[in-house]
Amino acid sequence: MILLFAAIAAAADVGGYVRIMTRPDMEGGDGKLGYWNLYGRLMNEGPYAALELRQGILERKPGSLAPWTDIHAKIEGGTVANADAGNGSLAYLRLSQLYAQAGNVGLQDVTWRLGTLESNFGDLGLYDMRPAQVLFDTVGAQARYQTPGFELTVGGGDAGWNLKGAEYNTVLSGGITARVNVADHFEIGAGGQGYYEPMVLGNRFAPYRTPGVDYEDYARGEVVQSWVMDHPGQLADFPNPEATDAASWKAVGYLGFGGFGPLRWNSLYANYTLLHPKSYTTETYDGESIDIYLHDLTDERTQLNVGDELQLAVVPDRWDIALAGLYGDYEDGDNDLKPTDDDRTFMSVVLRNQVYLSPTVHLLLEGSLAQEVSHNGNTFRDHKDSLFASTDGAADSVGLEYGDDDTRVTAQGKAGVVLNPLGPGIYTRPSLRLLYGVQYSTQNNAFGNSFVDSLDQYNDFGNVERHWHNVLALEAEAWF
Amino acid sequence: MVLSLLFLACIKPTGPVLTGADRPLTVVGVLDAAGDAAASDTPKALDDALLAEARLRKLSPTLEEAPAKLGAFTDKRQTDQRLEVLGTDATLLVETAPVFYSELSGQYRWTVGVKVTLAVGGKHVQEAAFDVPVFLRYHHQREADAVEAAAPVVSRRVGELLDGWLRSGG
Repeated sequence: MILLFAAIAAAADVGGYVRIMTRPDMEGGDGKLGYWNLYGRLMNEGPYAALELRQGILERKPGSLAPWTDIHAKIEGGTVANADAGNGSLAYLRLSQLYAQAGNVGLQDVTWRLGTLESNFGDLGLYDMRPAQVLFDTVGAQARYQTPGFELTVGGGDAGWNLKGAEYNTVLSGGITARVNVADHFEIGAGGQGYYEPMVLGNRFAPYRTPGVDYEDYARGEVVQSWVMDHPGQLADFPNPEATDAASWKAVGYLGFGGFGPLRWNSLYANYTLLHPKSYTTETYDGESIDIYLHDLTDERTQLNVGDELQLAVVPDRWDIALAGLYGDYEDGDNDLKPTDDDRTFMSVVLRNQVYLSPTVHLLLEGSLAQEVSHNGNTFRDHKDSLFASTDGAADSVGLEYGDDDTRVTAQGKAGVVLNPLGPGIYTRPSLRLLYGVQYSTQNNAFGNSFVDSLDQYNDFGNVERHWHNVLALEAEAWF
Repeated sequence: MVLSLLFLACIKPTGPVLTGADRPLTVVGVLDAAGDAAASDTPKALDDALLAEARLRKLSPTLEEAPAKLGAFTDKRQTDQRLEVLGTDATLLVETAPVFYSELSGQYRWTVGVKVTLAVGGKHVQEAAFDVPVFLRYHHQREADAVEAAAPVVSRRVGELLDGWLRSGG
């Protein structure tokens, strides 16, 4: 046995996840049934590949408290040759995780991690979302104390590159999660993450506020124009930005229970987030580019996300179901004018049935129902001529609304055959699927498409009224 | 479509054609968890799958009862030491060592190291060492769940070893 593990230690271990599909779309779509995962991930996601390499330097030994250490590197991206617009270009892949871990060094039952960090309480599989996740945006150090029934993770570092990209400024980040498990039937967890971006005088990517900016002018991209109208001929005196600091935070919670009767497990996740303020936007007026700093215009954006998923073995080894729900309430305290993704409410429910005709041949049947409501007026186009309607159903070229409805209701149904070589299980992979999916949406052409979205295109191509969308899919998905 | 589905579902896997002529076989599973000082039993699902593979080949398997051996197996981590504890009858020893790998796209990936040894009279007649990657859905699922999830792959490899043994005159 020792020789076995010595052999394992010598080689890098490769794990990963892949999904690829072809979904010819005779109705002008890009192959996805609907716009996004709110209607269930199935048939609403594109191809994806992830490879995680793990190099053991000192392997864990069974029954030993000796130190161990390994290195992980994960490369992933959402494109595969001939399967999407990216055509498998490596430009769409990224080294998303790189970290070194060490255990039993200094403290027993503690795993140290340096590099990219993460701590989460689990996954809403039907949505492919992790609402209770912290530190995913941070590079730094993390310690996880883990014993049977209890886990505590504390980490901290810098989230500046994730939050600000090329316009980097240090954003200090710290997070903590704790989880308690009782007899493998009940789990509860809580945690949070805080961010602090210090004031740095002179650094134009640090947090600033431009004084005296009206939100409507910002929404229209007319801050400078409006100021010049109020101060004719004084563009050179446009107010300089004032330095400030910025802070944001996130709280997460988790409740899990299961192992009773047909209930395999139920996971309830929640998070409440104050988003980090944005940096700046650039307006051009009279040939001059001027930066408008946005701290005070974007520092009241909050998100509440609640998601639940349960798995039931209705008839053991014959019929399983997974049922999930998702609710989101996003508020932007600075904005009560313009519909945006920061000001909306959405809710959805997804039910997947998997019936096992044999251990490897399954039937899949999934349905979903979702509603999305914009808080600041219309943002959906319900009809083929909706580009002539926005505010109160009438065309408004200077209005901030888009479309003729503030609500989108979407229903989807998917059915087909699944071949699972490794046997029964909704999440058993690899899966080879032949699926048919249908969507009804109150929005016209509610799927990724290349239909007209401007008046000149309308004049050339016209448009069609289409609320139903049908897609056939051949898919393969695997974890390995 | 429906007919072809029913057809697919009715296809029976091809079974082994070799026969062990009711030869006795002691089957022993061991779980060596990285974070646990003591060796422990393998999950019932794996035990059942191993027994089923042996019975498919008309062997007469007996599962070694756990408590008697676990103390010795904790002290003796080498395969040969463990075989000595088990005696000289035909013995199938399946040693498993699950190690958590990482969270990967919403699943908990474990690597289950497996060493299978078929010994007769204290001599290895067949052996194989391999890793089985498995994916668990929940955080509270730990080592035993990982070994259980590996059972389909492990039992298949064990079946191949038994075939090899029987072909060589077992």
